[in-house]
Amino acid sequence: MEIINLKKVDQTLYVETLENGLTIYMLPNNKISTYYLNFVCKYGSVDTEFKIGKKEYKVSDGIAHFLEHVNFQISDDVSAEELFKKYGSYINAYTSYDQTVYEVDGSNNIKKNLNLLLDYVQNDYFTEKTIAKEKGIIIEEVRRDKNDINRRIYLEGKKALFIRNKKDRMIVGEEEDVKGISLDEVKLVHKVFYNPSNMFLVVTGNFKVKDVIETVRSNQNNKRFEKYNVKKIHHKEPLEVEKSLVEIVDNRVEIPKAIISYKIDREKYKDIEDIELNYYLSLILKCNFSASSLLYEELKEKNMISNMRSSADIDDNIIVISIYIISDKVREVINIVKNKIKNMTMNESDFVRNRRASIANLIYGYDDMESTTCRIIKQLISYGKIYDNLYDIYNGININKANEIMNKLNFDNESTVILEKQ
Amino acid sequence: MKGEIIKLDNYTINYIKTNNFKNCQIQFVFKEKLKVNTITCNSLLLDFLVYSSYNYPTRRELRNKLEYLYNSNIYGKIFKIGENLFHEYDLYFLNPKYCDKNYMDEVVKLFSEIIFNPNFDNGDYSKKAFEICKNNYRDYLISLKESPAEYAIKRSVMIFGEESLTGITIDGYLEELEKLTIGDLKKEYDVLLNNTECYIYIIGNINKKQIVNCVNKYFKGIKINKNNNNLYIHNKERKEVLYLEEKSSVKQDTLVIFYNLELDSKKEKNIDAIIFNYIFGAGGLTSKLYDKVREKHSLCYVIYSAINCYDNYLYIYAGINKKDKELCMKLIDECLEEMINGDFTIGDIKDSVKALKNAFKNITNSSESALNYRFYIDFCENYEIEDRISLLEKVTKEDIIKVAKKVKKNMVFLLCGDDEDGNN
Repeated sequence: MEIINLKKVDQTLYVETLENGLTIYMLPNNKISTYYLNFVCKYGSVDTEFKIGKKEYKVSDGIAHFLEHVNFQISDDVSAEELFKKYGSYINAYTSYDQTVYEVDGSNNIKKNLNLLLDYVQNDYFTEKTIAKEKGIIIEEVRRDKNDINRRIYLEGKKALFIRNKKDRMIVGEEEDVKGISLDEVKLVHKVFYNPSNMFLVVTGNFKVKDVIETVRSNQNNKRFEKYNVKKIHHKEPLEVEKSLVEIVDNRVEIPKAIISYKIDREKYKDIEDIELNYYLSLILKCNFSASSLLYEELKEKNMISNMRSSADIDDNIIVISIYIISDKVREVINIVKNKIKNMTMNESDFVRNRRASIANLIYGYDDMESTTCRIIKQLISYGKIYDNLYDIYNGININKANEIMNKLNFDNESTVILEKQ
Repeated sequence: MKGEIIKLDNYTINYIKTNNFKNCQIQFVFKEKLKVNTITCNSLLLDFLVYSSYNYPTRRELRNKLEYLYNSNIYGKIFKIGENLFHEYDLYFLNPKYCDKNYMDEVVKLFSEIIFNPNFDNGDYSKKAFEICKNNYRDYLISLKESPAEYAIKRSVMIFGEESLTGITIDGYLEELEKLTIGDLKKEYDVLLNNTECYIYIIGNINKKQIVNCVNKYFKGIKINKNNNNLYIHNKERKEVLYLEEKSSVKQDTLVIFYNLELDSKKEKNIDAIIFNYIFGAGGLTSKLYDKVREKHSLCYVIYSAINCYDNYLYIYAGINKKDKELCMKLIDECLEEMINGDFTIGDIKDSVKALKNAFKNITNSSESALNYRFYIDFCENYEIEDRISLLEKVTKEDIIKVAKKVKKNMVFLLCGDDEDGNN
C-alpha cells in the first residue's frame, strides 16, 4: 500500500491497487460520523468511438449516461436502491464528459455497502424491458435539461467552438439518440469499459483502511473479468472555431446572455504541467474578470452587467478560455470584454491576494467529504495522478511566470454566442 | 453538537468549540415580526449591508480585503418561519492556526464593520452602492422566470397562501423595489439594531477568551426587543380544489400540487411527518411517488414531495409532459390513498428510519449544517439530534397513517408550453 501525505494540509491518502487493476484511494476522517464511497468508471459521454484490437466501434451519443441509469436495475424485480435502503444509505450516480460515478453515502455497515456497490455496478443484467422502460424517464431528463436556459448558453458555446470534440453534445444525448439506444450497445459498453483496470474507487470519511481493502479484495477475488485491448478514439481538435458568431432568439430569456470563447494552442506551454497551467490561467482570469476585478466594478457601476464569469480549461491540445456575460447591454459588453482580454494586466497585490485565497480554498475543501472526493477524482481523471504538493504548487507560483503565460496567450480563434429574446 | 451559552452585556453567544473542521463560522441572527410592506426593503437592506461598508465603500475593496484574509466570506440571507422574519449574517473564516497571528482579530473586525458600519452617508459611494444593489435585485426578480421549476413552486406558494402570511414571497416585489430610496433602507436598518431580537452563534476551533474579547471589542451594543410571534401559520382548506394553468415558453411542463397539512404536536411535525414524507415522496429513489410515477410508468425524471410544517402544507413537484397530466395526477392520488390505507410495511418504516438517521448524522459533518440545525432547535421547537434519532425509532404505522389522513388537496398548478403536448 502506498501512503501519500498531502503536504501542509494535515491529510493522508492511502492507495492500494488490487491484482485485477482496481485502485482504491482512501482518505479517512474519523472526526465525522459518515462515509462516502465513489466508484468511478473512466468512461463518459465523449467516448462514443473506440477500437478493440483493430475493429472500430461507434455507439450512440448519450450511451454513457443511459448505461448509468439502467445499471441500477439488478434483476427484473430488484433495483440497487432497494438493497441499499436496508442500511439507510443514500445512493446516486452521475455522468460527465469523461467519467461515470456511482456514489454511496452511509453511516454504518461499510463492508456490506462496499460489496453492494461493487456488485451492482459490475452486474451486467440488462434486458430489452429495462432498456425500454428507462427511455421514457431519460427523455424527460433531456427535456428538463433543455428547460434550463443556462445549460443552453453553455452548450451553444461549445457547439460554436468545437469542430470534432464531442463536448459540443448534451451528456444525456438528444431525444432521438435516447430512442435509438439498443440493448447490444449497452452490453458492449459495460463489458468493455466497466473493467476493474478502467475503474477506481474513492473512499472518504469515517472508516478503517484495513476494512476497506480486505472487503474490496475479497469481493474482487470472487469475480472474473475479461480484459479488452480497448482504445478510445478522440479526434484531434483543430485550433479554428466552428462558428465565430451565433445569434439565437429564445423567448425564455429574460436578461440576454452571451458566451465568448477562445481556443489557444496548448503546445506553446510545453514546459509547464496541466495542473499548474490551469491554475495560472484561472488566476489571470480572476484578476481581470472576477467580481473583485476593476472591469467588473466599472461595468456594475455603469449598470452594464447583471453578472460575468470566466473559466479556463485544458482539453488535450487546446486551452479553452470562456467569458460568460448576463447583460441588458450584451453587445456593448461583448466589445468591452473582447478588448480587455487582449489587454489583460496583473499587479503584485492582486496576485498575492488571489494566491492566499487559493491556498485557503485548498484547506477549506478538506472539511467536506464531497469536495475532497471531487478533488481526488478530478486529479485522477484530468491529470492521471494524485498531487501531494498542491499547497506548494499554489504557494510557489509567481507573477513573472504569470505575466509570461499571459503575454503568450493568442486570442485569434474566437467564437461568440448571443442568446436573447425576440 | 451542543454549545456553551456565554452571556455578555449585550449579547448571548452560543459557542460550539470543536476541532472537527478546518474552518470557523460566526453567525449573527436578527429576529423580527414578518410584515408584508417591509419585506422588499429588508431584502434590499441585506444585500446593501453585505455589498460594501463605510470603510470598504466598493464591492471590489471589500472583496479584496476578504480574499486577503484567506478568502474569508461574509454572506447574508433573509428568510421567514411562521410569522417571524430572520436576518442572518455569516462570517466564514479559516482556522486561525493556518494563518497570520492577528488573523482572528482582523476577520471579526471586518464582520463588525459590515453589520455596524454600513455604507450610508458616504457621498457618491453610498449612492453607487445603493443603485448597484437595486439593479442586482431587479435582475434577480426579472430572472426568476428563467428557472421554470423554481418559478412554478414560488407561484404556487403565493396562490396557496394568498390569504395568510404564507403567500408573502421572501423574494419581495418589483413594484415596491422601484419605489425604495436609501432613506427607506436607513429606517429599516434602525429597526434592525433597535427593535429586534439578536443572537450570535460561533463554531470552530477558536479560543473562548479570544472570541469573547473580539465580540466585546468590535460588536456595538444594540437594543433588544423580545417578540413572541407565532411560529405556525394556518391556511384554510378549499371546498373545491383549484386548478390553474399558466402558459410559458418551457420545454418541459411543470406540475405542482399543494395540500393543506395541519400537524398538531412537536413530535408529529418533526418526527411522524418526516417519516410519512420519506415513504411517500421525499425518500429519493425509494419513495412511493418515485416508484409509481417514474419507475413503473416512466412519466417523469424528477418527482418529489416536501413538507413545510410551519406553514402547514405539503407540495408535490413533477417535471412531466402535459399530455400525461391526468395519468400523473391519478397515480399521485393512488400513492396518497395507499399511505392513508396503510399500504406500506413495517420494513418501509424501518428503512426510512435508517436513512433519516444517516441524514441526521450528516448534519454534524459540516460547521454550517451544525449551526443551522442549532438554529432550528433554538428557534423552531426542534429536537436535539440524539433525541430525534431516538424518537424516530418509536414511530408506529398508526402515527404515519394519522399524518396521511390530514393531507387535503388544495390546488393544482401547471406551467406549460403552448401546444397540445405543452411544448413550444
